[in-house]
Amino acid sequence: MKEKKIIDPRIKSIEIMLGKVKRILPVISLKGGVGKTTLSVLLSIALRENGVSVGLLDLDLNNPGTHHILGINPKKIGITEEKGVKPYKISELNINYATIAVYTHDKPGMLRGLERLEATLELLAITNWGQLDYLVIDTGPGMGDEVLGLLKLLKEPEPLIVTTPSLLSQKSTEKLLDFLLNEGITMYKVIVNMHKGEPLDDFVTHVLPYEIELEKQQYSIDIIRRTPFYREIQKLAFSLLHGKH
Amino acid sequence: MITGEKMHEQAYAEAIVREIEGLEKAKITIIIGELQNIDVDALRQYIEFYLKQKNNIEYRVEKTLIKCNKCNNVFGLEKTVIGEEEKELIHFIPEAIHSFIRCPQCGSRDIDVIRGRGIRILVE
Repeated sequence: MKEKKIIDPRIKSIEIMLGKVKRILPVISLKGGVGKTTLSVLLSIALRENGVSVGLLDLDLNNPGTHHILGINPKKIGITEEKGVKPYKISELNINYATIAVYTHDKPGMLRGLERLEATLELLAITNWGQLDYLVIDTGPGMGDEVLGLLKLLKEPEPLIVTTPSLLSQKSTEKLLDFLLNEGITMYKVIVNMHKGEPLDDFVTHVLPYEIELEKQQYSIDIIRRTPFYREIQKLAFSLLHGKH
Repeated sequence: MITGEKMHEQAYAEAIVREIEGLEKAKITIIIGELQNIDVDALRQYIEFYLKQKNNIEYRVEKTLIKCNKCNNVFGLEKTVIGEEEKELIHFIPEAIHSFIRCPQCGSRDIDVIRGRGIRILVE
């Protein structure tokens, strides 16, 4: 009897689409509300300030939020095809941007486990990033199928693990680190957000201070860029550009 | 607004060709989920353009089946109403369907796509 084999061509397509991206930074955490989305957007801006090319992908499938911070209406983003779909160029920031919200028009579309993996595969397989120095990927809270799938698909992911000083968040981070190390993912950074001077764990690599401007309902990127919080984001960008792992 | 000429199909064609290169003697079936709304002729033309060898390639479109997690109703696309713009968005990311349809029986948005998405290559 002849042997049958089923191949998913999206895996090869992802390899092609991400083939010219030098470094990929998934922003992850086990807990929600720790500031992944804010960090993803501001870090993209800080990296871009250093003259490198930057892409930002919002992979928070059930609750994408980067467009709110960026002040972009995803319904108004045109889809341009060029060997896949070209990311949207945010002209004021010169950042290439893709978000699941473009395809859902930001309507609720709650995906269960495997469908989240499917959506991740589709989005990665069709988005043609071209030449890029850094791709920052915002993810939803927890280690759902999309995050696990993403870490498996990427050749050398450099996760940025976001946490807060709370004991629960720290315990979650310990678990996450345990998992990542077991999977051979060692090029990570641990970023404590909303820090108010509490003692820190040994594994923390960067500290972002509590920032009152981020509590506001509609904060301005221009205002945030003048705060001590953003200066710490700039330091994180600098360490990514010049530091050793 | 969508611009470009079937480039989405082109991206898939390139990946498919890379996967089947060197499998001259195999029977290849490309199974395309109905939700992908792929232009099969465009895909076939791109594959024939890129592929150096001559393969016997069959193209099959898999019908969509959706199950409602609230009332267990199982239904196909013909039972749903989707606008042209939404169809285009689903064409890119089939899971976007969750944002645009409800169960025709109970109105719930809690649905699962059982089949009819993605592209698979069957090699025999």
